[in-house]
Amino acid sequence: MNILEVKDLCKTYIVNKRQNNVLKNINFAIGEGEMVAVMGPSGSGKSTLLYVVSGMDHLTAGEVSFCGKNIAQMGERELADLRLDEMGFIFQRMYMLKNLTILDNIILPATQSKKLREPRRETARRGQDFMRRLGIIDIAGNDINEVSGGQLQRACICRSMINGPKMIFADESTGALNRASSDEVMEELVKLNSGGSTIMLVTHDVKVAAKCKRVMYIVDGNIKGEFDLSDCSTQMRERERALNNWLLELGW
Amino acid sequence: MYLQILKKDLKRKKAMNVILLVFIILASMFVSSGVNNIISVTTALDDYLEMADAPDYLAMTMNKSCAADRDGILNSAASVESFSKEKILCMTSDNITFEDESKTASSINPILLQSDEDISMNYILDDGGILQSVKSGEFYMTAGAAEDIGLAIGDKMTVKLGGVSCVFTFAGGVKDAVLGSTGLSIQRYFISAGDIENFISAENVEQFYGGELIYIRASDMEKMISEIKPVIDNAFFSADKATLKLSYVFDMMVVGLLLVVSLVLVAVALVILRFTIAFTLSEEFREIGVMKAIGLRNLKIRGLYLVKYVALSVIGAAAGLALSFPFSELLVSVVPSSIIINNQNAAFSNVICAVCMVGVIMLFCYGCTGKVGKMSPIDAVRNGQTGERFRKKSMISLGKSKLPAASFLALNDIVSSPKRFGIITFAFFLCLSLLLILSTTVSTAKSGTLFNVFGIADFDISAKGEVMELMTENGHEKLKEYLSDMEENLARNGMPARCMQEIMFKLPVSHGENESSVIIYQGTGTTADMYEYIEGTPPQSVGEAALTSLSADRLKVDIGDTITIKTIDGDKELIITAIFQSMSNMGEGVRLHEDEEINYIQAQSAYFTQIKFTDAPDQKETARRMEKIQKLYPELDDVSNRAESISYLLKVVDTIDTVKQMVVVLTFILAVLITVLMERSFIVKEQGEIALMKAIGTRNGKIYAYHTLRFVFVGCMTVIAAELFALPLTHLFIDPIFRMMGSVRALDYLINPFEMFLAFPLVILAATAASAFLTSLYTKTITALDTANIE
Repeated sequence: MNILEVKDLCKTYIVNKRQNNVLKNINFAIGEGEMVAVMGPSGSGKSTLLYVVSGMDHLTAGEVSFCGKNIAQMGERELADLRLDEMGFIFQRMYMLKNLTILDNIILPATQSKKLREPRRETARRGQDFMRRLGIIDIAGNDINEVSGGQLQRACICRSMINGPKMIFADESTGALNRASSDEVMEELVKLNSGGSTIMLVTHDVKVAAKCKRVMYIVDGNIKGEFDLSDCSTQMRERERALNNWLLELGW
Repeated sequence: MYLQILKKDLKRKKAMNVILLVFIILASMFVSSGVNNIISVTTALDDYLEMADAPDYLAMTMNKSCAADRDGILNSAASVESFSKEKILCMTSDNITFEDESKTASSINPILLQSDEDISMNYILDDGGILQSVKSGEFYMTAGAAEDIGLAIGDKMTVKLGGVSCVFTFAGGVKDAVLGSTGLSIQRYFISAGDIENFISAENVEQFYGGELIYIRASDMEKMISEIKPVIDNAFFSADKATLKLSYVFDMMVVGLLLVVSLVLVAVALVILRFTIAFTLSEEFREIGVMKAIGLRNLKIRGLYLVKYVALSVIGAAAGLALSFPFSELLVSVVPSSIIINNQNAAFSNVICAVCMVGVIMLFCYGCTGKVGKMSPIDAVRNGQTGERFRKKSMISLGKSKLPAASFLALNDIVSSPKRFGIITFAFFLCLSLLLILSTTVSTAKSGTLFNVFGIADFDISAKGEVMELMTENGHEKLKEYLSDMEENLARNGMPARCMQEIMFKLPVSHGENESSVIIYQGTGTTADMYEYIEGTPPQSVGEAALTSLSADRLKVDIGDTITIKTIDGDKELIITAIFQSMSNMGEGVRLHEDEEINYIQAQSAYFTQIKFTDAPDQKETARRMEKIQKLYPELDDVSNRAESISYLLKVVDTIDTVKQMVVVLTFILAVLITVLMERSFIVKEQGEIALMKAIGTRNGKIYAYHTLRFVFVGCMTVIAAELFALPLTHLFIDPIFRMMGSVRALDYLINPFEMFLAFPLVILAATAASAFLTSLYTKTITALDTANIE
């Protein structure tokens, strides 16, 4: 069953009275439990695609269906509720509220959710469980400027998971991290995916994309091709090599 | 390079720069007008007396009671440099009627009629000119009194004196610096020399109503007083310049409040400005870090910001300067018309203030940019905090809190940034405290509970009768009879009451070498124990008296000492048994025992007749009885309840009420401005966080609630703090003013619960909540997508 279905998606910006077609007739679908990477050169429209399909940005034309609901027809309030309860977000920069501790930042979405009507203690306990699973329980009471980038990004993953979303959107979630931290974060995302979470991530990093089941390559607002890694070896090097070869064929 | 960076900065950070500019304009406007007012009001009285060419000493004599050779004594006194005299006719309000019968020249003091012929000082006209002459058939009068009566130019007045009746047309008000103060409020009517001759030429008028106002300029005041003692002893009223100034204490109370308002505005402006500069500079940590990283020296970096603030402060100060003139005028407009506030140097002081503001802003900026030295390139990376200076920000835990998310976030912001929100709270606290102080002062003054500080007995109703007509040799007996008849009449009409009347005499009182002309009070219908004393026991019998603490200090008298009162029937020796306080006659006074014999022909004036019902009626019944009494005694003027009577004695209550209303409006505007500008700057600073909240699914409504609640909490903190400090602050600021008027003990202030606990807290809460909410709507323009664009 598809969680996300995109049909003839177009996104156009008007910059200095000039029309800029960022996304042109995009069509794809993401099934439940999939982990899909979107790759492409800078300015190709991959982040825009992520923001449009997640309801953060408005589409110009086409249809985006999330769990069977057309998000183009949703109002701002419905979109907010959708993002709160059904979607999780991980950004390249580890954005968090400065005046809250790591744990409070993680549980903040849960305290606003109408889906999870649970006592605040239970929310905190769940938040701590996520932190424990991601190995950052020691920093629960810390402020955001007291921890490393890797720790902070893992906290962002915890936050994205706190409301039990149907799908997680990650925009260059490892882009600001060193290799070791990047590997740790990806390991967590893969674990989440293994646990049944659907993930769509945008990345430049072949190593990161190689961990996904499917890779879409986007150039100039068009999906130039899709590469299925589900049948590839479980060996990371082989997966990376296969992906690299495919990307080179597409002009990467 | 600086100019280019400045140009870019002004464009790129438009919102923050506009907010800062608005604050600079406000600060400049408040400081310029505030300082101008402070200068004007602190020198107001001296300037006014100088402008009016007021004498060093003033004596009012009556032909009927002053047999001394005034000219001879004054000419032979070596310390008298010069003197001049104005002839007066001393009337009462009964001698004057207006065409519009609803208007009365009601006054418990004598009313003076005089001509334009012998004007001895400057009487300032409404247009700023000086009264030189009066056309026949016209009259000018004390401006404050004309305003109280409600006279308009062209109104007709009839003066009946000694069988002569003349009609005059009101030509304008004059500021009378010596007798026109709210404390003295002796009304003067100026007519032409020809017109006054009509009255003087009538039989006995000059003898019975005639008198002189003597203006004396002296080289040595003490010596002069002893040299002209016979004139002073026989004077109906006399006062040196210091006493005349003291009589402005009521007017200066308003002026003083204006000073407090100005000081509060200046304080609020500077506090908020200092905060905004520090706040906007803290925004620049990333750029400062980057500049440091590329090797720019601290001085260069500071110079960059100083250039920006020079530009903003010059523009802001110029705009603030322009606005300060009308604002200053608005503030000064509440000052009673009995005094002139010389605002002639406004332009100069305002310009100086505006220039100073530029300097102050630069100093603030220089101080704030001092942090540049402490910032490191790491700041560009780590949100403005280096690893060495981590500070615990989160004080409360969302996990443990039961508050809704929006309330928690609002509260958490406040406890995480106590300085930031503390400054806003302090600014609001200053405004609200000022309001509560004024409210408490006005409600106390209007409550009628201050009768004891005026040295009078408790009463329910007062009315002004023609008791001065009874002031003959056996006036005391006549007065007793009058009051007894009134009591009987009232009882017959179902209003059992005790009727009382205070009579005042101005007589020389001495104790050893110390001598002073003091107001002597004697109550008829009262007993000595019906008054409040602060020390000793009430005079029990004839030969005993009580003294105000001020007179006791002046005469160097203590309880048990004997004072001597000079009366026309000889000296009277009295033992002082008690000390009392009185805000009448600037705190001076001696209270005689009710049976003490004194010739009532010396009576100077009378308070209103007091009526105390013995069957304790409620307010509604008292009001009904007031109407009934007015019908029974149509000749009585100003039938009032106790609260109205005490307000009348305090004189400036209505003006303070006007100041209060002005402060309500100012507080509301200030609270709105501070909230809007602060909230707007918070939105600019928190743009990233707002975008993030939207990205993770927070609804706009919750963000509005979060931002609004921060200011609601600030408003609540302000209200709690202001309520707690309202009475202590009222004692701190208002007690000294009442003390100047003669009150010795700290007053028991009466709060107005409606204003104190509802109306004024609502002003702050409504202003902050509504403006924070409306400003927070701006967050709608920030979208979840902006998360990708956060710097």
